[in-house]
Amino acid sequence: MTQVMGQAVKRHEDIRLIRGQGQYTDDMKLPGMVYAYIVRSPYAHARITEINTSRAASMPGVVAVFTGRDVKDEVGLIPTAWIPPDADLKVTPHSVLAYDEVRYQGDGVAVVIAETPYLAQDAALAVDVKYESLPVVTDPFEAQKDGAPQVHTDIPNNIAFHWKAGENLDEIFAGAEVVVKQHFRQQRLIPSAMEPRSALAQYHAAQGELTLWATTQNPHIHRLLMSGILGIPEHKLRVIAIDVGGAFGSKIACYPDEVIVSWASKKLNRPVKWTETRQENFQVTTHGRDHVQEVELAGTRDGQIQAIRVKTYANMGAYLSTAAPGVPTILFGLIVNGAYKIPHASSEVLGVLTHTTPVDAYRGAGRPEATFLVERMVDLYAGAVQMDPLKVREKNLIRHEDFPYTNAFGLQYDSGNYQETVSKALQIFDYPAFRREQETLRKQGKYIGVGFSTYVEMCGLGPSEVAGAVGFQGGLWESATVRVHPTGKVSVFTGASPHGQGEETTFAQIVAEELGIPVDDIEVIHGDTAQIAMGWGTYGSRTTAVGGAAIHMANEKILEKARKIAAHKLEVNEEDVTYDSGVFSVRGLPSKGVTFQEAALDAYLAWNLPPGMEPALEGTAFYNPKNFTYPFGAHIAVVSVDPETGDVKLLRYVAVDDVGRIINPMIVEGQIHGGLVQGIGQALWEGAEFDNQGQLVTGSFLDYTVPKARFFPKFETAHTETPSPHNPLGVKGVGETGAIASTPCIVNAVMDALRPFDIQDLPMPLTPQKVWQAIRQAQTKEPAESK
Amino acid sequence: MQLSGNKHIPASIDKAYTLLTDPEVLTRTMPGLKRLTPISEGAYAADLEMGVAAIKGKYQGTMRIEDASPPHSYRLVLDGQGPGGFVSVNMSVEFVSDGDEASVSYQGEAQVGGTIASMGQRMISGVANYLTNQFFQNVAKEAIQAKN
Repeated sequence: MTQVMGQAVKRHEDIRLIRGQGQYTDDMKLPGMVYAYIVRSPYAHARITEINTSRAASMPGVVAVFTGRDVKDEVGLIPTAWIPPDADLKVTPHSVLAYDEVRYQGDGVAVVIAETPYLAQDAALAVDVKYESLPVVTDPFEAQKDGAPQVHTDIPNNIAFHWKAGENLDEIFAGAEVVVKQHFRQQRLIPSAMEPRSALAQYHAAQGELTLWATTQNPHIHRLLMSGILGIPEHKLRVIAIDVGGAFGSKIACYPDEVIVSWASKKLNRPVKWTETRQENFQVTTHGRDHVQEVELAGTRDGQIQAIRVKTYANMGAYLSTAAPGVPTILFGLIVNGAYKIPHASSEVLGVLTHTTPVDAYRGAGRPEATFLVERMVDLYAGAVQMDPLKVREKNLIRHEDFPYTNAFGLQYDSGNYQETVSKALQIFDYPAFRREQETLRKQGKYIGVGFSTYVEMCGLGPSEVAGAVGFQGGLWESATVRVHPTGKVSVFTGASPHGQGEETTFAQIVAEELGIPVDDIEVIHGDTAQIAMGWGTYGSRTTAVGGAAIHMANEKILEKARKIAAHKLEVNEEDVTYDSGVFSVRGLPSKGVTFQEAALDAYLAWNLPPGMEPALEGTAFYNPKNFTYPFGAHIAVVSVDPETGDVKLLRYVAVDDVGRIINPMIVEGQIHGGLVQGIGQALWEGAEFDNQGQLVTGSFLDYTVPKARFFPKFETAHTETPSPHNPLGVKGVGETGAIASTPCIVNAVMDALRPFDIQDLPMPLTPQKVWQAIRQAQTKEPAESK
Repeated sequence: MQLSGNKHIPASIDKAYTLLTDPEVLTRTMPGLKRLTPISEGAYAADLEMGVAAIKGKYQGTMRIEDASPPHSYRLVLDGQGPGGFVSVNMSVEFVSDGDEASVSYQGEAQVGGTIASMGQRMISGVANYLTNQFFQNVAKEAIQAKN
């Protein structure tokens, strides 16, 4: 059989996307459509004392102006859909439009609907809102202190939840030979997807039905949540996400804006569209990360790690976004031991509310924050015991023979050969030669450094029983329908909702391989709740691991039926039929055969089917994974630091990843590149900043640095392939690995370069100014000490 | 954002104080200030129209002169809201004789929020300096005209 899986098949979706023929929400135009613009608070915390809409309402082209008071009794609150148990979680009441108090800069207070987007925006300026400003807190550590300004009056100390896992480690730390303590700041990031968010709602009054086109990663979750908020039953609600131009987690959440257009469409009986401006994308689309972490690691003098203890203050923003509470708890706290055999571990997380944009998942969601702290701690520990950081890693990595490995929090890592990825990386990168070169250059006043990161992550979300146990308000299984048409062409319907990850191609490869048909005969359909029975969307590197496995199961059903049809036609027993390259034939009689297409036609004509067989050829399957999947790898970064300017240059980046079985190496490579770029972006350039009044001062691409292609050398990538033992395809997941592994790798490299200056740690992003100041401080400190 | 500076006005401190607290003079000299309508003792409703890129648009707010101690000092409190967000200024202004001129020192804080803060961060202090300089130049002209 020709191999389709494992081939670098060009991305089918690119044919339309590259030509500008994609269909994004904002491309939609419907007869009678009007446009919404949302009036947002310029204050991070204020009381609304008065809203006067009369001036705006009388402007030309304005159809309606609504305030929070007009909407509040007609729709529900924005829900939080991940409630980790035993964490005393307090839900934050989140109105679609604020009517008494605004809690972050960008909180919506009114909506203007007009004949054109420009008229709506002009009229929004004429909505007169009077605010009485209130005290603001933006830092999670400050916000949980007594007397800090309150974000929600009935949530004391702004603590939205308090989550703990692991054991009491006091004795272990008290008796440890070496204890390393460090404080980290995981800065806040702005996801910055290329396509801003957009929503278009069309209410069909006669049927009482609503269609919502929206930029979502999970249309079925949106349908479920929106049904509750709007009071429109699920069977009358259709959510469509056609092409979505990137999301990185920022399009998981259910947002007020989508509710507003839906409600307004019903109210006005006209289609209503809203598309955010880039500025709104910075201000109100969920941010990521933002932790203050206190970390302790205990180990022996000879480099054996014994325990890790983490206390985290996670900034949740002003409201608990849809999936937000799960990110710094389940997806972070349970994996802070990383890829190491650390027998004892504990995590404590305070989810803290502040007057800032709500935070939710961002590429890696929790796992980058965990990987960062453990990878940095391993380096600091190596320094403390005066061992090579690579040696410490090799000594503590979970060994191949330990799998399946259960970590200190009870997660079962499915499979791995971590040493092999390290060996492979060291084949590409000559470590001893680098250390010699580093020594030579240091004598010339030039500083280069190497950083390592050996990581593991949990993805392929996930087993639904576990989802329930950890408070995720949904399932995490996936559905697939593989519909063979009479001519043998195939439509594949998936409940996952890819938005740039390339599964229209990957999934077609799975079907082509397993059904033995050309990849061009297959079309993958996703993102429409009317066409797809159910699904849980795309996030957590789950699409191929879970959605792909469902397709595999559907394929099996089709093959089983087609084989019966072929056997019937060939007048032989089913057991005597073999299937190869799209042809069913009789064992030992290859000349006599039935093609897949012939079997499909027979199935639909139903003139002569085996007795009792139903017509048509279609397979539907629902796959609920037994476990998460655990990709892993070893990354190496080489940087130079200019001591005169503090500028960090990335010279080399070696990434050896094991993402399980690879279906399309080109797509895998693309996903790794994208992840690396975002992870390295966090280490060196990106960082959202609020001033002390809660004003987002990095509110444009002038002030918020997203990585550019020219910032990077050519990535040197390689793979090992350790199949997931519980996944029918053996796949794991690749969407997030790059962003998880690369951030600490870069920081470790910069710290290695700065070793002669005795600089232990610097907060990200490692901008030239920060690095230069640290070097200068170190230089001015030295002569003082030598006196 | 911290605001501070020192400017010279070719007039006595009495005259300089009068100029800087006279709503009619301020309307003529303050860039973008269209109207000051008295609302109570030392307080005015202010209409501003800004033409500088980052803060372009019409603003409405209040201006108050507090702790007035003529001709030595007062406190200027400004609150404005407009399309780009809001601006709050609270600064002390002091007058000291310097030969036959008045040396005017101002020191205080401006809070800026909304689009101005997010988008115009890099421009704000430049814009503030530009407007302040223009304002004092205009006041100086008024002082010279008053002398002649």
